[in-house]
Amino acid sequence: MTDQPLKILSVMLGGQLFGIDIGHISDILPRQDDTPVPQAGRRISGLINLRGHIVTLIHVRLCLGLSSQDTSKMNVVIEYGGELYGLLFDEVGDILDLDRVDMESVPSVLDERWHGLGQGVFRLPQGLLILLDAVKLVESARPENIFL
Amino acid sequence: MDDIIAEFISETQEGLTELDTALIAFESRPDDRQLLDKIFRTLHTIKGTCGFLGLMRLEKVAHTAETLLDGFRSDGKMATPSDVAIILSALDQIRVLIESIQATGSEPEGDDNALVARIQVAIDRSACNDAPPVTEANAAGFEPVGPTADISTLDNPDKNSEAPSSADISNPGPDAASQYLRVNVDTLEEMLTMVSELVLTRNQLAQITKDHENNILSGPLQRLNSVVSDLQDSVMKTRMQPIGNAWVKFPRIIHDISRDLNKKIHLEMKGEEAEVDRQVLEMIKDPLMHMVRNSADHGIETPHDRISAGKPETGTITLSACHEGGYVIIEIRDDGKGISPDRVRKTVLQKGLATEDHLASLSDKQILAFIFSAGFSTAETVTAVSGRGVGMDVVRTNIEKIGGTVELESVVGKGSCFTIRIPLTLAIISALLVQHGGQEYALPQLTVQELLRISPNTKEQVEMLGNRPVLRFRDQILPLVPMSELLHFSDETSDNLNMRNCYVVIANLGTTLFGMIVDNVIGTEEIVVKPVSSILRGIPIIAGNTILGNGRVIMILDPAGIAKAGNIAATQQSRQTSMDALSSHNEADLSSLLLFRTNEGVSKAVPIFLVSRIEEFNRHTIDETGGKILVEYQGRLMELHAIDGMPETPFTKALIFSDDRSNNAFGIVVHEIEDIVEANFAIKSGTQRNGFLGTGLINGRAVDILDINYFTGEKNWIADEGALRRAQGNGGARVLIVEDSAFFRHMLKPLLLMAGYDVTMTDGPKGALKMCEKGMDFDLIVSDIEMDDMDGFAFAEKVKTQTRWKNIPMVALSSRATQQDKEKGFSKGFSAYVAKSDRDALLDTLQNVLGKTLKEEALS
Repeated sequence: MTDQPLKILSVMLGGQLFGIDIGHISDILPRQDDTPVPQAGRRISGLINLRGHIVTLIHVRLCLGLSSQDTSKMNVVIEYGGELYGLLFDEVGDILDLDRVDMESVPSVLDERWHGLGQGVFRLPQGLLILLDAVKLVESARPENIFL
Repeated sequence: MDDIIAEFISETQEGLTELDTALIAFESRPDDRQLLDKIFRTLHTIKGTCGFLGLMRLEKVAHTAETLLDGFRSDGKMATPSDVAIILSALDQIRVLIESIQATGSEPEGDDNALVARIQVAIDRSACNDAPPVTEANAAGFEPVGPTADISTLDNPDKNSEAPSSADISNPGPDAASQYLRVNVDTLEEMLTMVSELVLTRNQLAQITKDHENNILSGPLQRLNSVVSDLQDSVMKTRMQPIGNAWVKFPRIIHDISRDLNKKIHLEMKGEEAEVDRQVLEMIKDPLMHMVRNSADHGIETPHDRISAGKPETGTITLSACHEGGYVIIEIRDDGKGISPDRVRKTVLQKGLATEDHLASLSDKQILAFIFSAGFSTAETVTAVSGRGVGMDVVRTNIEKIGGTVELESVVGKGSCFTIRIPLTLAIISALLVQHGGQEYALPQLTVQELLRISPNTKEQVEMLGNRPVLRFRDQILPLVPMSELLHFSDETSDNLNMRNCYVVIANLGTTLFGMIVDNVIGTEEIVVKPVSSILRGIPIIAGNTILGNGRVIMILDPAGIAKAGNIAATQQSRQTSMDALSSHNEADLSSLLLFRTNEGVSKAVPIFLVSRIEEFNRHTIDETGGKILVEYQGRLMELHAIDGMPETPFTKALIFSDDRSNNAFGIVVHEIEDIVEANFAIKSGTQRNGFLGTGLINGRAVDILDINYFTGEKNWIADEGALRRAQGNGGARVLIVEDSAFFRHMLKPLLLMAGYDVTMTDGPKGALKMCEKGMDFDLIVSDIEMDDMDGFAFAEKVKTQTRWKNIPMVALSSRATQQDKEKGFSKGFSAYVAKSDRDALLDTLQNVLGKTLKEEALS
């Protein structure tokens, strides 16, 4: 189990390298106009129609406490609980094969939110990659978790 | 072959396959109660269907097997492998019979007595609690008993060789399926999804070609366009079916039950055309059948019993369906003997479904709800028609599975009514599309009563009552919810509330009428309601989301959630609503108060239930003569009271207090109406100002509370009117008000005075009882319920059992008016129960109660 390499989609957000386990991912699309959801809070960008399924788009940058300037151009769609959620990132990079043994815990100096949502950190030639927990990310966007 | 039979065969074959698997599992886990219930229900469904198709052999086998299973359910005894084997052989026999029916259309000659006898032995043995010897179990398990004897009589000799074997079990007859194309709902769902995608693609294509004139694609694109639209319509339609499709079997069922039970039953069906989603229809079909059978079997009495009860010989079962408030509502009503809560209570205790203490705390309605519990039945004899109450268990499970509810109301001797509500989330609904803040939204058309266009030229205008927009609309003050407040998406809530040019969507929620202010109305569209993703489910103003024909996602708003979020309380409708609608207001001493300002001083408050209307008068129409301010109002001169002088404005607003019955009225001039608040208040003493009860604290603010008494107390017309009514003999009744709140005493007095009653007040039951001792007499007692030293219930009980006032009708007046409270009130001797905030209901009730008493006196 631990010997199996992790397949991670690398993504950029606010100049930082993040990763999402491709096991969750169902689609990668350019961002498109969405329908805002009233009273859903800022972390929910809105809804889009993806081949007849409604996808709830999530502002990952706000979940992570990054600058609120919206520069996200890509939408990484994941499936969770039989529903589709779109995670918004600035750019999408390559799929990386990473070894689980190389994963380090998230340094304690980082933002508390990064601790909660990050599964671990990889040191890569291009910089540090923080592996995000897609499920926790979705849960963190739940409106009652937000002070509007 | 008869369609019904064909459908029965294919259903039963599915059921048998399920049963085989379940029984095998049950053999190793005989203590699995859920599994047992499942087996029992499946078998019960098969049995029930056989019954009405007149398949006697099948029914007998299934019924006996079911009886054996029921023993394990009710006694809690463990089924032995030999029991399971016997049930399996019963299933095999059912399968053999089914195959014969499939081949020939009827049951084969012969009987299954041998098998039935064997099952009976097992039933007896299980009842005696004798563990069967292992050898017997083996014998029962491996010796094909009943079937071999009967198979020889089958019409189709080929089937003989296929004596019940495991190979047979997994391979039900192939013919049934081929005659019917049963499409999985998922397939339809998928089609719908793909059509939506097609629409989206078409739209994109149209967008691309739009920019190029005389494009060679425009012709084909137009054709594509219409084909796609038609395809979309067709796919949508495949999901919809008239609810009557689920009812087609019912007349036959009722016919057969009538014959079997020697009853006369008429089945009436209304609203069959109401369309429901295919999936919904599938889910409610069986529950409905069970309920109709139950009504016929347990509800309707025999002609003899009906005649002796003074009812027509023929009983009626009414089945009706309609769309209402975003729900499909199905009612199954019978005029039979009703269900007695006492009998239900007894059975519940007998079966150990609840303790006596628990039952004591429940209302009759809650007790009736026990009939939906598993293993419950009030039928004293187990009959083949509706069996052992298993049906109601299935009913509830199936209905709740699709998010619906089922309720039972029953009046002993009059009949019962089951009401099933199924939410629209599975259905296609007609929606009103509106636009606000640049976004489109859908509102369920069913709750929309009216649309109003507001512009500077229209008669209707949005006005502000304090900080709340309202609309004067057909003599009502309609509270409005500005959607901008609710639909904000971020911190930058734009205050682009444009109330001069807008639309008001008037929504009717049954008990609440209110308007929503939106920028624009686009039109209506049929939409498929889809639930929002789970992380968005807590948002109360959202009912779902959907994909429109153009491929865009839009939110479906929930008018009920909007009313709540906009603080629209049902009480604001109190003049239209019945007592029941108010029963949800059960917080003690909460009152709706109208806050207003006069020329000077702090805000003033008056309970809104005293205010009849708010009117605006042109200054020119107001005469100030002889120290009185008079204005013509509804064809009469009405006096206005200006507490702090008249405002210097061309128009004067006034609160109108009137007794609608006599057209007497007076007004209080206000400068500005501030708000309507639902508040707990306490009067602080200190103010001795004329016209005010004192200063109260409302939500932390000091306000003067108006004393209506002061303005009415000396008015001659009140006395005159009272005298007039006394002379007419229909008024002037002596009413005693028992109320510990000084505030309400002050408020009630003018109200009742204006209505012509002779009013006496006391601050509690003690005072009232003293009056009784002193020999005072009244025609009616109105009593509060929540009082400190003795509550209204105890007071009524005492009056009714221990005093000479026992024949005086009593009316309970309470801010708590739940069904339970009412029932308690009636049991203690109150003739009526009125919510405190409902001015008209109180006056009507007093009149009714007094009228009834007079009539009774006249008769005796």
